[in-house]
Amino acid sequence: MDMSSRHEGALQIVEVNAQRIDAAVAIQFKDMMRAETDGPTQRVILDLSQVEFIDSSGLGAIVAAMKQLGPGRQLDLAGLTPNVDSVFRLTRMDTVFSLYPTLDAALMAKAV
Amino acid sequence: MIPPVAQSPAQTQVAMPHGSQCSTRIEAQSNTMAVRDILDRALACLSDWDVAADRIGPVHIVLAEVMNNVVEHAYSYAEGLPIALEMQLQGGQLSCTVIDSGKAFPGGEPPVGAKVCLDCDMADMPEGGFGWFMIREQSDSLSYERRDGRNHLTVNFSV
Repeated sequence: MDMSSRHEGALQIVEVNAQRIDAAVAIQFKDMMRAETDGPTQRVILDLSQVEFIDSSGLGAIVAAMKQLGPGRQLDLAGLTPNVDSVFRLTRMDTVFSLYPTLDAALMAKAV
Repeated sequence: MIPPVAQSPAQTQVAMPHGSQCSTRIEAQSNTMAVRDILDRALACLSDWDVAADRIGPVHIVLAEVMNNVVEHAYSYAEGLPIALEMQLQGGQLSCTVIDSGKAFPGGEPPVGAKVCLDCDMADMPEGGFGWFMIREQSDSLSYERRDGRNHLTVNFSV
């Protein structure tokens, strides 16, 4: 699994450069997110546009990534492909995270 | 040269999607990448069988969850143990059976897959418990049998 991170103003954007966040990489994903989001940035946008598949372990790892940000910080999700979007809606996780169809849409939206 | 089969009315009949039956068996040995390997081969097969892309999505997530459970629970992450996936498509009905020789389900029945409660503080947000809910929600029906020391879990889909 590979991810890259950059800062734009007060935002941090973390891009997942992998086709799947599944049971095989869930722990690695969580650990990499902890390292990447170690800074104080209040709003982190996770760009999932390259991810074509996520399973329940991957979903749990994204929840864990948000929880480990701690109070006062938020993780928004952008660029959800159809299968990924479907898993978030099916599990009602779309009520927990702010989902944006594209990174641009997430960048234009103000932090909640 | 063999003449093209399409010229024969009988062969044309056989080639019609609703009259045909497709089946396959895919095998692998348990390890962290085995589930990906079986899924890749299964999805390629469904594509070959002309199953629409939007119908493959639910099959993908359900089979992933079922086989992840085999690796995690039936085999407790032990490697080198057999996992097989049998798929059969006939008349728009897809039947998929995952077979393993690991532990049986506690109580002899697969979990009910209750909806996870998300009405809580972020710090208490659940990080698991979504798998069986998705399996039951995204498949049409499910059956389980423990036979000859093996688990046979069958999930059915209309595709």
